[in-house]
Amino acid sequence: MNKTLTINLAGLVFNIEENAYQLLKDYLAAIKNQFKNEEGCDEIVADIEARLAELLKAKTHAAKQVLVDADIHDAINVMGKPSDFEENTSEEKQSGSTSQNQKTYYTNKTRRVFRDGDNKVLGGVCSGIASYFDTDPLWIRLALVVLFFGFGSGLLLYIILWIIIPEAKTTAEKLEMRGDPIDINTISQTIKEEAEQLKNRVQDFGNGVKNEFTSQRSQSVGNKIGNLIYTIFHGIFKVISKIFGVLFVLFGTLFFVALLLVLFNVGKVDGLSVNEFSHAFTGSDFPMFWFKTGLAMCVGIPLCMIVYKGLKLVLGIKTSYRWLNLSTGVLWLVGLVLCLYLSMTLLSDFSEEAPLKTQIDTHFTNTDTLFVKGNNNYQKNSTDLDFYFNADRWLINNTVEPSVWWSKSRIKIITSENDSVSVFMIKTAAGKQKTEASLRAKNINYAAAQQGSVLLLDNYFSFTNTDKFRHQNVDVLIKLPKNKIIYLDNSLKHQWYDVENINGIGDAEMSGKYWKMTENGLTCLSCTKEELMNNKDSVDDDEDDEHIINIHDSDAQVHINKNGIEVNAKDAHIKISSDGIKVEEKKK
Amino acid sequence: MKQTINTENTQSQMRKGVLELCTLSVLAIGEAYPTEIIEQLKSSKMMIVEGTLYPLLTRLKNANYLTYRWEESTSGPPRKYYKLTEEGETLLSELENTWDEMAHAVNKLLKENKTK
Repeated sequence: MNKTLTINLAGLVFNIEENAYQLLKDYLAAIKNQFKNEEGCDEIVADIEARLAELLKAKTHAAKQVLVDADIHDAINVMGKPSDFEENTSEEKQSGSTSQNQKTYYTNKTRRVFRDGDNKVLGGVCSGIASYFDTDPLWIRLALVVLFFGFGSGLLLYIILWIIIPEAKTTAEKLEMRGDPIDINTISQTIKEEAEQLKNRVQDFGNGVKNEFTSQRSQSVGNKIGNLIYTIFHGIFKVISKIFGVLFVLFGTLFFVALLLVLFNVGKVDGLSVNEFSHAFTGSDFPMFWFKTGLAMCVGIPLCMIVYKGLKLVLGIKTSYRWLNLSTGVLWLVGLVLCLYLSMTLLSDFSEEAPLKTQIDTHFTNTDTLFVKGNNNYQKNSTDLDFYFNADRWLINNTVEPSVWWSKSRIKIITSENDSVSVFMIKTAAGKQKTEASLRAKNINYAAAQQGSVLLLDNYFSFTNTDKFRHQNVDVLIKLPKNKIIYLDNSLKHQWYDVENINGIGDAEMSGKYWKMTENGLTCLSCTKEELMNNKDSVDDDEDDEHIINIHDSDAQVHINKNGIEVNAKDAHIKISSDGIKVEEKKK
Repeated sequence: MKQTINTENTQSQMRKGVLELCTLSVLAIGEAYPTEIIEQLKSSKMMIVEGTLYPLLTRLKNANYLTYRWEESTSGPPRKYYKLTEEGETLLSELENTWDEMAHAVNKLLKENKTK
């Protein structure tokens, strides 16, 4: 079953199938184009239309009332191609334009991309594109082959194009495939035509409005405004969609190549190749192949779809395939599930942490100053990798198998519950279960020892990558009794971790100074006045500052300023200053 | 662009060159509408496609070598019956002379070269 149209050709009425109509319309348009510079153009076209009507009339009879493709083809064969009509032209133009005429045979029709089934090697993609750009298919094929060696993107592109570009099946499509070449002339022509159309529409609209106002049918005016707006926005939308199409294709391809680079282990993260980096997390028993497959599916498929949509926008292809959307959707989900599942198994390796606390055998006297020094147990090789992860700096020697990972320990100082110095070392690591985690923690290499009045701490702890990277860390806890003096050596700079002191000096500035453990906490003994000033609490910052505290549910008020503390209550007044403490009772 | 000399193309060029003469000659017998002219030209293998004739007729008419009148048809749209004007007859006799001379000259040339 086919849709038919009714047409009037040279005064005769015909019923014609849609395809056949398109063919006839294109043919007449081509003829008109052929004679457009001729004096009697309209007359020639009218004559030809009359003859066509005669020929087509002979094709119909009572049992066959509808014109089909074949009838039009027959009539066109009798009449000949427009390029054959050219008669009194000079030899030069004739020979030069024969092949040209073949190509622009059916003009007045914008060219569209189709796969050229008559001229194919695989799917006719290259020949179709070549005919779109008026070049030899060989060049397009060559370009695609070259792209194929760029991570196979040529193959991908070919498959996408094969899917999205429809094959030129009907004659009309084949003609469209070779329609007006897209060049400056045709573009300006199209713009002129569109402008003309728009002008006509605006005029129609104007006339329409005039008429409407006399006949008061406002709904129709609304329709006309709608049409006008539609025309304008349709034009704008077309241009914007092309721009977006180009952007989609560009970014989609770019990210796709980036994805391929990651999957095929090209590119570096902080000097660590992607594979080394991921291997440090995953270890060798992780199904990396499946993870990459999942990643390729759940990231690659959306990227492919972006390129696909972009190409569709650029080439103005409207066909869409339900099976394509469905199958890519399913594949994407499978990839997502695979990725999520494997990520979860990996993350579960971090679920349990096991701190392994051991006391270092030390016997410090309470009178001597305790010196804490670093032992630089890490020798840097120029080949060592150096990167930051989770704010910790990691140094990796990967010239040995398995690689060795180094990082600095953290040192904390707190008040001791008893009268002696005690030092603890806490190794931590993560694992699926506590046992696994504590085994990893045990495998961390770290040493601390007493040398006279010196506590010598390794700067770095290390572990081998047979244990994988599972949040390994070492904390050193020094417990100081009251009145003990400690010297924090510069060799442990940046390793003090959250050490509380009453001077409020930051961890980074604590090195190279003597400290005394007092009742209230660590106090700096050798800090300069400026250092102390800089780090004082804001309460003491400003000498003129007065703090007033209102006691809840009473009239009592506490004033704190540079003179001292004053408490004003209903029945008493207390003043604490450099003069001493004064308490006055208020008489009622 | 590549230039190829196509046999078919050359033949059609030759035919096109003398089509004007042949058309005028057909009309010299009497009034005719395009389909009649075409049939005669086709039977003498002077024409391959019909489309060629219509622009030719229009051009000749616009140059006052032909006139036409309308006549209703039972099997299609009304037809244009063409006939020669006086200028047309003059043109025909001029072209006939040229053709005779040229045909003679070409035949002679071909014959001479063949016997060489």
